[in-house]
Amino acid sequence: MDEIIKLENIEKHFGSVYANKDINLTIKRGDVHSIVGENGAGKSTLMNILYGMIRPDSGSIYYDGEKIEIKSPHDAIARGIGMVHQHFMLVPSFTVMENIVLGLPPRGEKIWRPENFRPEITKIMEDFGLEVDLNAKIQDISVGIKQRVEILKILYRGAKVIILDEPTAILTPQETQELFSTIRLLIKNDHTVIFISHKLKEVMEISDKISALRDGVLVNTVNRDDVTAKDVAYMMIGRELEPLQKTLEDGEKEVSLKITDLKAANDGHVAIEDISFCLHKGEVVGVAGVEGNGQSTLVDAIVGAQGTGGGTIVFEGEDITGCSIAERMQKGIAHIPEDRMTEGLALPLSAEKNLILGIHNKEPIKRRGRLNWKEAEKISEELIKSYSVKIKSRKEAVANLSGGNMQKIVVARELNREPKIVVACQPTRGVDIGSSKYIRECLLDVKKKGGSVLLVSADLDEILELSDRIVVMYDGKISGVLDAREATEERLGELMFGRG
Amino acid sequence: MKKQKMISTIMIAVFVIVCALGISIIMLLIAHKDVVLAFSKLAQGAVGNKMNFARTVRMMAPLIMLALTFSVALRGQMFNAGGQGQFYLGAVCATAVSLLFPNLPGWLLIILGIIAGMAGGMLWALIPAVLKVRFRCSEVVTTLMFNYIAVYFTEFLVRVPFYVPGAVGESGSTANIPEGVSLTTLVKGSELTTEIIFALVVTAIVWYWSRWMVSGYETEVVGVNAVAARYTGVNVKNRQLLAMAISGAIAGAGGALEIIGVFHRFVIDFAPSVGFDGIVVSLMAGNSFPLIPVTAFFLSCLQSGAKTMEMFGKVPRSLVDVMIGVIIVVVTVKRLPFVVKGTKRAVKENKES
Repeated sequence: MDEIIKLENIEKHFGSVYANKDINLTIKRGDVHSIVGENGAGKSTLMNILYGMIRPDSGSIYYDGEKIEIKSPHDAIARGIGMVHQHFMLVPSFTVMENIVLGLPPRGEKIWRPENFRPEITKIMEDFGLEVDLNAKIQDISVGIKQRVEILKILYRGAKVIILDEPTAILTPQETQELFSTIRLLIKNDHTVIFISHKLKEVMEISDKISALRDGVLVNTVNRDDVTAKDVAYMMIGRELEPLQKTLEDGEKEVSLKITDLKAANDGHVAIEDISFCLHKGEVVGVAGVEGNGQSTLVDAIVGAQGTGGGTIVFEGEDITGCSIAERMQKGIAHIPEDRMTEGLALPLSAEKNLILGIHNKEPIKRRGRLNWKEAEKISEELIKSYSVKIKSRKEAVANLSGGNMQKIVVARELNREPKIVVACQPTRGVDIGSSKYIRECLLDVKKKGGSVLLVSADLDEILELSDRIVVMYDGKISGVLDAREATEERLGELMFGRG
Repeated sequence: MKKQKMISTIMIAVFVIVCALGISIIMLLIAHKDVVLAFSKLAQGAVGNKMNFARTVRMMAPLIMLALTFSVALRGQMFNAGGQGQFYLGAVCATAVSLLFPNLPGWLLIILGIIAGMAGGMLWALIPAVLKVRFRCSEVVTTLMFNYIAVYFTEFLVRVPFYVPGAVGESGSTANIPEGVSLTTLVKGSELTTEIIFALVVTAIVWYWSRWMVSGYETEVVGVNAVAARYTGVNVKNRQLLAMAISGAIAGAGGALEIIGVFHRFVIDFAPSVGFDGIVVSLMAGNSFPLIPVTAFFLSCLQSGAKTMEMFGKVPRSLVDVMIGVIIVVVTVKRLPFVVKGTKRAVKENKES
């Protein structure tokens, strides 16, 4: 039997929205089959149905030609379907070995001894080139290794079909390459891989077949060799996407923000140290680095959410090191926080109430000591229109919006203040391609108008696409500063690991 | 949108009431009681005649005040379980003002009493609030514990500085406040005074604050997402302190009004469950200020009618406590069945169109 998995007429809706509509998909044994689509296109839902996390409203699933019913992940694993989630499901204080065997029934022995499983696990590690120190604790290993542990975990449970949900989102370019060699070994050993991503470059590199989902509908399934990246992008978003126009300018420019010897601690640990760099007017400076190397602390120190332990931050010639968040906002610093759900928006409140946040205590919204909702209506209607936010009305709670539209609300709110500096953290994470492009254009627009942008992103493509200069952070320090012209992914990757 | 939200809030309130009645009916049936008789007596006791109705409305006032206390604090993500203590502090402060300056004119003593009551309640709420924002002490625990301190502290005040020798003092009460310090009675012979109007005015003011004032809006954002509020320049701690200060002041004013309007003297622990009942009223109203008087009316109907039900309906009045218990269980259920059904229907309509 050539087909290992066949999905027939799968449908699932949440509320009034269809996440999956009449999906028919066949996956061949031994293929790397990519599922691409923008955020909210229904990729994750479809995979969660296959893995038994969600029950479909209708439709059937065939495994090896036999119709099966997957009621829970337990059933899926028993059938040989395993999934590595975007967010790892590991116990930090346990060792790698304990995590791999956790939850398996004891085989005969009275006492649970993870050690007994060692030989088998070692064999799998050798077969698939998944090297991991089995005695290390999860909390001490890097993200890339954790992902390997997750793959080991499902392989040990006998998975033949492996679903990887956005596996490269958290990896450096080097780690991605390592993951790809693992995938190739999996295929060689008669496994099947379902690869979920919206990064076209990676999809084109690793896949045999590509299926695109759009608005819950399966657009098409194609052979990788028959298409170009542009075709796949078209399948995903249903229209052409023109590349961004970035202009690099030379010559001395005025300094907007100057950071000198900045040091800050987080929970008593030094999080950043010896940070010195400048942000010029009309410039986008990218901050690259593996997440957790001090970027968040740096951002919090710049916007004023965190105290500093030394060094100065000078904005347009004025020392603002001791200023509050509100004072810095007043002076013209805007902040697009890393996580729109927990840091950027008041989710249960209306779009209108979210859009006036930050300007609510000034004219024209505040008039004679009270809120002028007429003015708020005008401003929010304008913003919703000019940022083309998809929303029923300005009174709708932002919690009901998709990720891209939520982010547009945050960006609209921050840029509406016409800031001189925009500190943008992961501005397009989890945002669909169309909105991502729009948000990036907005940031370039700030630059064009003479403002400056500090772009912190885990997405190297984004950094390379937008930045004039790139600051790389490693272990709380700056490991290198590159001009956009000399920056390559390889060079950045080295600096991200502190090898300069 | 707004209208829909309001409708769903009302629907939830109705559902809660239906559940409470339903379960009580089942209990009565199991106990072989006459359901119709019990409820008709309950209704009669609550709204059956002018005097009963006046009593019910009179009982609404402190419920409204203490429900506002809880709701306002919750707006700023503060769980103020200490309305009871703040209420007693307000009551004792108002009493003290009148007893200490008996020669001042009555109208001035009323104003001063209410102001003193607000100050007392505010202080009692601000101590846990400061502990919370400064040292992250859980305000749930501290406000709750402050209730006990308030009961014993007011008892100390009654027994020592304001002690009047004789039966009154021994029974745990202060002397009466001067005659002139009282509110106008609305229904002759009842305890219903302009206190209820005060309570409704306070509701309106709080509603205005939450909707139109900058600080009200900021408090709402803080309550929903403090991090987002902070990142957009809102002083979160300040807003939480403000919410607690307003909250405590309302409870204190509620206590002061009870003394001035009804009791005319401070009796130790004179309304032992009012703080808790206020929380129930607030939860039933589901974060909506204008709905508080409505849910307060419902609860005071139950409490006001309970006695009549016991006397003539042959059902113990603790049934009302059971109903209140059921209400609490139901309001804390987040996913009410008809809400889910509503979305299913919406989907169906969507499919067909």
